[in-house]
Formats: sequence, C-alpha cells, structure tokens
Amino acid sequence: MNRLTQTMLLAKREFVTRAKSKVFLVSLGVIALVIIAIGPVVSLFANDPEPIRIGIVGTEPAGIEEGLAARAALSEQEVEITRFDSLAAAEADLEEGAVEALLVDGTSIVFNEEESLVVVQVITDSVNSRARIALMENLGLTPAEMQQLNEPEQVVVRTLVVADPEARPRRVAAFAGVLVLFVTIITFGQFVAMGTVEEKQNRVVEILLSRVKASQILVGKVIGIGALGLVQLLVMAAAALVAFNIIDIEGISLGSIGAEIVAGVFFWFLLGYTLYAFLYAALGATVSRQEDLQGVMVLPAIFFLPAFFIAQLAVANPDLPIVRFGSFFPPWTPMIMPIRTALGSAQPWEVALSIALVVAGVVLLVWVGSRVFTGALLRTGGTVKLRDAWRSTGA
Amino acid sequence: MLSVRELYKRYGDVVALDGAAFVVSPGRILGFLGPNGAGKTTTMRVVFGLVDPDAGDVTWAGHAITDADRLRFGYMPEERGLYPKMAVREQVVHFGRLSGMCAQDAVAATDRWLAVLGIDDRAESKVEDLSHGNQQRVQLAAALVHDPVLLVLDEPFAGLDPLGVDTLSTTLQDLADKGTAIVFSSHQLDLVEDVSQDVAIIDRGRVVLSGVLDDLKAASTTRRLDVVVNGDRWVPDSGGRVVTDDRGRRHTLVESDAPVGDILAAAGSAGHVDSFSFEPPSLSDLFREAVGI
Repeated sequence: MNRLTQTMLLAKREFVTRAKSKVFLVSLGVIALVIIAIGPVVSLFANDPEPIRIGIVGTEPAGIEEGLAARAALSEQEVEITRFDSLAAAEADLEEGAVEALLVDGTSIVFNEEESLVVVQVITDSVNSRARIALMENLGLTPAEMQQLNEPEQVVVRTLVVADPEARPRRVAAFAGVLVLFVTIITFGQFVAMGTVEEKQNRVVEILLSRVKASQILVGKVIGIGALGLVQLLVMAAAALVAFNIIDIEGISLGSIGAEIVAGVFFWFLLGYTLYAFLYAALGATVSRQEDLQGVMVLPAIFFLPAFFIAQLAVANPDLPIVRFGSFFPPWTPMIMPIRTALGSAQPWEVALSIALVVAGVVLLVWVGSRVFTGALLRTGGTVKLRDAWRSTGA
Repeated sequence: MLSVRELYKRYGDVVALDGAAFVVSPGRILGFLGPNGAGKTTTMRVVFGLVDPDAGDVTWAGHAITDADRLRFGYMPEERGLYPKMAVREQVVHFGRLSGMCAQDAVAATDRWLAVLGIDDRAESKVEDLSHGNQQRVQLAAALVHDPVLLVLDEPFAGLDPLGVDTLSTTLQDLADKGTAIVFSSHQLDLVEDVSQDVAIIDRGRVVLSGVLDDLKAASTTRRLDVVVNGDRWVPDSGGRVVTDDRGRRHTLVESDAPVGDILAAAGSAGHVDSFSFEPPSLSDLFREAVGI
C-alpha cells in the first residue's frame, strides 16, 4: 500500500461525501442561476438609458418639443415632455421627481436640488436654436440658407493614445474574477478547517492515524476539498461565460475577455487555495470543537482582507506601488497579480517571480501546517496553543 | 508476537508509563487491566505510533514496528470515532481500503463482518442514525475488516448489551483460534476472566503482574475461601482478609498453606456447612492484590 494511494483515498472521501450533500448541490445551482441572471440584468441597464424628463410651463417657444428631441438625439438620448398649466403644479412634480427639470416661459430652467449640466446643455441649445430659427425666418432666408447657418462646424476630436475599447469590460471582468477567487478560496479554505475539526471532534482521527500519517490526512483533505472548489469554479465559469455573452456594453461582448479571465481565475485558485488551505488546516487542528473554530479563523481573514481592498485599487490603477508590492507578497499575490495580468500591467518575469514566491510559500506552509497538524491532532482538550502543537511534534 | 518493552512516558509532571512491559502471542487473547489512568490507553497508542515513548519500544515478530506492520494491525481506540454522516458499509469499506485492501476485497470483507456482527441490515444507514451499541459494532468492523494479525481493542465491551458481549467474545475467540494475537483492555474483570487466557495488570504506568491467567492463579500464594454455613457466608475468626467481589458476595483470602482441615472443622462447629471451597484466587483477587486495593 503506498502513501499516494492512501492519500488519494482520503481525498476521494472528502470530495465524494461533500459533493453528495444536498446543501452543496443546492448552493451550486443557486450560484449558477444568479451568475447567469447577471447577464440580462446588466444588459438591461447598460443599453436602455432613461429619457430626460422635462416639464414645460408658461410661454412655450415655438417648436421647442422638436428642438429638444433633435438636440437630445445628438447625444443619443431621448426626452419626455410634460406640460403644466401652473408653475405650482410643475414645481410639485419636480419635487417629487416626476420631472428632472422645468423650462419656465422658455427663459429659465428650474431644478429641484442639483442642476444637471447635461440637461442644462440640452435645453439651452434647443431654446437658442429655436430663437435663431425664428430670427432667420424673420430675415426671410431660404430654407437652404437656414440649414447652412444652423449646421455647426464639425470639430474633430482625437486622443493621442488610442483607447482600448476593451479596457472597461476588462476591468469589470478582472474584478469579478478576483471577487470569485476571493470568495472561493475563503469558502473552501474554511471547509478544510471545519473538516479538520470535524475529524478531531468525531474522534475518527485516531483510527485514521493508526493507518495513515497526519500529513497524508492533511494533504488528502486539501486535495479533496480543493477538487470540490474546482468543480464549483467550473460551474461558475460556465455560468459566467453564458452571462458574459449576453452582456453587451457599448457593443463589446465580454465573451473573449471572459475566457481569458476564467483561465486566470483557475490558475490562481490552485495556488491561492493551496496556500490558504494549509494555513486553515493547521489552525483547524488546534481546536477540538466547531464552536472554537471562529476564533482562530480570523487569522487567514486578517491576511486576506487587505488584498481585497488593494485589488480594488489595482482595478483602477494596476501600477500603484502598493499594488505592485501586493502582487509579490505571497498571501496577496493570488488576488492582485491576476488583475495586473488582465490589465496588461505585469511583465512576464513579474508573473513568473510572483508564482515562484507563492510556490515557496506553499512549500513552507505544507511543512509548518503538517507539523502543527500532527502535533495538535491527538490533543482534544480545548484549544491547543500553536507553540505547544509545534513542540509536541519535535519531541 | 507483540513485545511491549520497558516503556516510559512522562507528560510534564505526570508519569504515564513507568517501565510497562508485556507480550501478546499469536492465537492468544490478553486481557489488559488496570485502574483508570494506569497507562492502558497510552500503551496502546505507543503500539500504533500515536505516542512516542520517552524510552523503551514495541516490537512485532522481533523487529521494530514498521508502517507496513501497522497496516496489518487492527485498532479500536477508547475514544470511539466514526464519520457520523457516512453510511456504515461505505465507511467500513473506506477503512479497509486505507489498510491496503483492493476495492473488491474490502467490500467482500465488509459485508462478511457486518453479517457476523449482526448489523448487515443497517449497512446503508448513516452511522449517526444507529444506536450506541450498533455504532460500537461498526467501530469493531472497522478494526476487523482487513483481517488483522494483531488486534488491539481499548475497552471493547464498554457499552455493549449482553448479546453484544456474547457476539464479541465469540468473535474474539474465533479470531484467536485462527492465529490472531489479541489484546484488549477492560474494567469488567469477570468478563476478562471468561474471555482471555493471558492477562497483564498495569498500575501507575508499570505492569505489576502478567502471564498466563491459570499459571498466575496457581502461583499465587493466596487462596480463596468460600464457605456457607446455615445458609450464610461464613468467615473464619483467625487470619485471612475478607473481601467483597464485583457481585457483592463476600469471601476470604487466606494463605495457600492455611490449615484447611482446621478451618473446615471450625466451620462445622459453627453450624451446618452448606458449601465449602478452597480455590486459587479469581482474577479480581489477583487484581486487588496486584494494585494494592
């Protein structure tokens, strides 16, 4: 009987018993549905801007309604006009938010609290244009002359750097990917800690240890639960790709970017999960009851939380010093480096170096984790101090 | 043969083992006795490498125990432990496979043992849905599934109903007949006396008496005197030590060279002698003597 076979048997048990549980299957289904639902919801909001709601009261400039619609159309918007008989009724609707702005007597614009520059622009342009047309009609110009006068000079706008039309979807997708990574690593890491305590609490650990080494239990657990995490990621990724293909922001489909981000999430999950799983297992081994687990589980969270905030910074600017540092600090790398990679900020050598550092961290934690795990496993009274757990193995 | 040789283990100021030593032979059942905290569980854990002794060692067939040896041992710890949400059969198969059996053998052995232990009808139930006694049987199946050459059972009879006790006794005897070396600890001395041929008594980390039970009894310098006169227990006036056994019956322990004839005569003069026995001591007598209570 070799060690590997035993370890894989342990891993298989971890995977199978959990995969069969109703809670896991139901939550997996719910997660998939929620992700797929994101697609249509986002598309709905992204492609259907609300029309500008304008109230008109008092003297109305001739043809203002057509003027407003034409001006709004220039900035790909629509207007919705409401006419009021009295200023009081109009102001009441404005207060309630039924309209965004009032055009009073064709001479003043009223907002409820904050003025909107866009709305001011649309209304003033329309009013001015109407006034100009009226003036031109009085001057007796021909329609052709009038159109010529009315057509503004085309000013060409350009930027020095050609903006990547994919930049924004990339940021969105990268951040979504890292969010998933964060939640999955924490969730399955906690499963490892709970599984460890469970075996201690059930006392099953003593029969196991009469057959296998503590390090095999640890590795088997990490592999089995990690495989379960991969299954969940796979389902989420499939759902996300479906959702991304539905989303259509400014004509750019997230489909192709999605595939790239998903691949990154899988890769960094493997490294990040392994790193944290061994930490969680070692911590789980130091307590003997599930009730005591919350206390020690704070530690990985303390490590991990800053990475989440730095990841948000990274989305905005992947070249900030703290972001660069975070991408090389092993506990944070799995959250930060994928964003830098997705946004094209990391050089290949930087990615390679960060991977090497995480691998080194994993090796260190496997060693430390196994030792603490072994030392703490058979002690079942209360919480074992890390130091004692460490020492009892050395003896 | 399992040899436990001069084991020492301290936990801080607490001495758990203080030179414990005994042997368990193939085909024989050794009852491992001792008061609470005497070192029984610690000794068993040393056999499985769960505790490193400060000094001394345990050998199997003359060599230091290897991991491969341990896979051929069966262990039922005092702290019973199973996966509560796993089905009985699946669980026993899992332990069989961890001990190196192929899937097919593990399934066959599991089904065989579940039948022998009378829990085959619960094979697909979750362990947590079983009664305490049946969980104990599953625990035993997990220790037996791989047909171990050495069986180490920590308090295997605790929590079993009389039927369970009978099943387990018979099972152990069958295994011993097939050549398995068996050691089990127990507080129930009469049970040990029925089941085991060999005993080792441990007290404060030290084995104070060990060997073949019948030899130990014969070699003892005390004899058990049990006399009933006029329907009541009768105790001689001079000499001997009156003890009350597990069942609440009183008898007297006297030296093996006590004047049996004189005692019988004294009993006769006290009334009608219903019964008179002068026998080697029982295991509980030996136990009391060995641990000094």
